[in-house]
Amino acid sequence: MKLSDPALQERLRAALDADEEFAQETRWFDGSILLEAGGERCWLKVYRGAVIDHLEFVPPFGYTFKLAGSAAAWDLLVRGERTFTDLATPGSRHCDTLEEFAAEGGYRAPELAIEGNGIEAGRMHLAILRLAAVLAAVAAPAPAVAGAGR
Amino acid sequence: MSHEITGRYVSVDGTRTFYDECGAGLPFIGVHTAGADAREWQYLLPLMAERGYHAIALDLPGHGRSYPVDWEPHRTMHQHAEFVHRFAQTVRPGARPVLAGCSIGGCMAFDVAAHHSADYTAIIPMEGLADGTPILPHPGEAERPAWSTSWKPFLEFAAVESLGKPTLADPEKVKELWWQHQNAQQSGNGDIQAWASHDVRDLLGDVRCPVLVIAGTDDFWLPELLVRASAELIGEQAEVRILDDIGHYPMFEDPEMLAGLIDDFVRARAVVPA
Repeated sequence: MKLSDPALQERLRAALDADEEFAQETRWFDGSILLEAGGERCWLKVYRGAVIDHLEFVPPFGYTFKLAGSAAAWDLLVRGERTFTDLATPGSRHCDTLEEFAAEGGYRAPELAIEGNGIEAGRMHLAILRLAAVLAAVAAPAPAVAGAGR
Repeated sequence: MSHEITGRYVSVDGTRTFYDECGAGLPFIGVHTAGADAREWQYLLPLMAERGYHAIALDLPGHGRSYPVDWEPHRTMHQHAEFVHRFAQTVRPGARPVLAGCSIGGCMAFDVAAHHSADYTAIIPMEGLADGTPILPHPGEAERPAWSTSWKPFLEFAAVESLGKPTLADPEKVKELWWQHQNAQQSGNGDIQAWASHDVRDLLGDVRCPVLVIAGTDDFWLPELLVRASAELIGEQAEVRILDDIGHYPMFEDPEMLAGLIDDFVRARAVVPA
């Protein structure tokens, strides 16, 4: 997934604006959400239920909150191998040995971190879940078309 | 013969406590998950009644129609487990029930096995562990709504997203499970504090009744390695069943399969009171 790809960002904007639940949840939100996948960035300005701007960099005035993780963590979401809640919740759940589970008291940071204004991010929790679902759908590779290449 | 569920109240620890029941016979008691209530068991209870059980599911204190004890949520698993044990003794004194619990109810089942196993015909921990520590950090700092604007929707969707894939694909079942988790803030947060501080690993060496440990392959909260490690602490009294295509809510996702599994286990392994 190339988050900074302008075409992907435009598809994401259009898909979010078409998503009724995202629009409802962000109805009284005036802020910006940064998505980070490794070094790739997608900054979304959201105002009253709509994405009104997007950039592939962070503007000088920053962001309200961000969802950040490695490209590999985002790929787990896009491929449907892990749920957003699983990726964004601290704790040890995907280890190969009991020793690994117990390391550091069992505590592990989430693979997708939600950082910035936690009160606003918390208030927008359902919008974040929709954003993650819509991004996963938009970024998923197109299914192979039967007969393609003939 | 159809078995209709009837709601009742009983006083336990001075607290007005709600429970559903149907059928007659050996008591079977179901304990719900974090932030939820007895409705999670509504599909299983009649199936257990058909198999000759007095099927019961309670609302834990502070959940559904049960008041919290002394107006405070339970914040440890042992508080919850002792309450469930006293509930069982109050509703069916001396009857040696089959006790099944799911998620925090599963952890409670391990706690009851550690402290009161001789008083039960069988104990069925589902989607629970002897030690909850590694799964989630302690959420005490998110207990009040003013402290965490995300706790309630987090817990609601932590529930929904851990359904098995077949059930997750059914929007009606997803909505129903979401509506069953409307005790998510203070009580549900106390439940997860209880999960995160729960540890009875050193107390499971002398369990006196058979224990069936159940987990679904689609439940991302419960790694199979930890489920089996919990069961091994009980030794020969324990059996483990890992269920394909099932998530965090076996009694909600496939009640028919689960009723058969529990009944077969009880008949094969337990000494059923006359």
